[in-house]
Amino acid sequence: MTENFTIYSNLESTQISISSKYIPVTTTTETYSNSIRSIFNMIDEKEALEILKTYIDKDSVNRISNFVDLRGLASTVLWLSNTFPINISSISIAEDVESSQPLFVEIRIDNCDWEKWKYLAKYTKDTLNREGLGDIAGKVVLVCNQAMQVS
Amino acid sequence: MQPSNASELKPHKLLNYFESLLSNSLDDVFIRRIISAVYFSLFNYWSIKNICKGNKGKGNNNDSFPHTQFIQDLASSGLDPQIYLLYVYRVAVDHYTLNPTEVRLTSHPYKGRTQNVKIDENILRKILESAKDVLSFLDNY
Repeated sequence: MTENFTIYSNLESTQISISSKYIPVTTTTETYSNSIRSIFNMIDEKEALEILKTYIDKDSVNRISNFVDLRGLASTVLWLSNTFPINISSISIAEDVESSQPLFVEIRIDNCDWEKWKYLAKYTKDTLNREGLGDIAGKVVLVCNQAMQVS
Repeated sequence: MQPSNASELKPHKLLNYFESLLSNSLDDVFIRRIISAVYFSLFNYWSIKNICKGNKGKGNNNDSFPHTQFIQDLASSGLDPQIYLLYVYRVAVDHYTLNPTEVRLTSHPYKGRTQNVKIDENILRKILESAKDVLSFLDNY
């Protein structure tokens, strides 16, 4: 038995099926959006990859999965999309140009200015840290495209 | 040599000085060197804060800390806009020659995303504002 969830991106809505064994009986859609941890507990790695493939270039999947937990990343992406009226345009990995070491995973967001960016980042990282997902908080950076545009 | 406290590398005075230079028609060389200095003054301050907390880095004196940890510490606290702006422009001013230009934050051959940058006094002002936010965090780190 499965339940369907709609994941909205700026490109199109994507439907994924999550086995009902991950879904608490009393949970509602609203509850999912309030907790990154509840989404994290609900999905496995395969489902995480399904969620992320809308945003990640296939050439960088391995590098991202070697750096950050895909379930944590996918949960954060799903929670962001359900919690805020934003469009996530892409996800990529940034590396240190001198050492080539992975630095952070960029979650690129459309339609937000500098102040909204500051609020989104603080609220998201506070939530991740509070819910015991501090590793994701440090390895993921939200980037607002419009706020970084040069004049 | 052990530092007595983090005040030895406090960049507050340096940042105030750079702020006082705004609106003085700074040329590209000045702006580039200021942005690089701002970034590394924050990194040095973060490093000495770690030493004062008893954290050990690499090297004979355990005083060399990884760049990645600095960025991840700031990102973890929600300073994403500030550290992203500082990092992208630090890479731009130290590694790229043209202005404006496109910075690619990858060293690998696959097509990574690029970020358009324009090095001017407007961005310097924003970088100094961001540095102040980072400084507030590091003061209590």
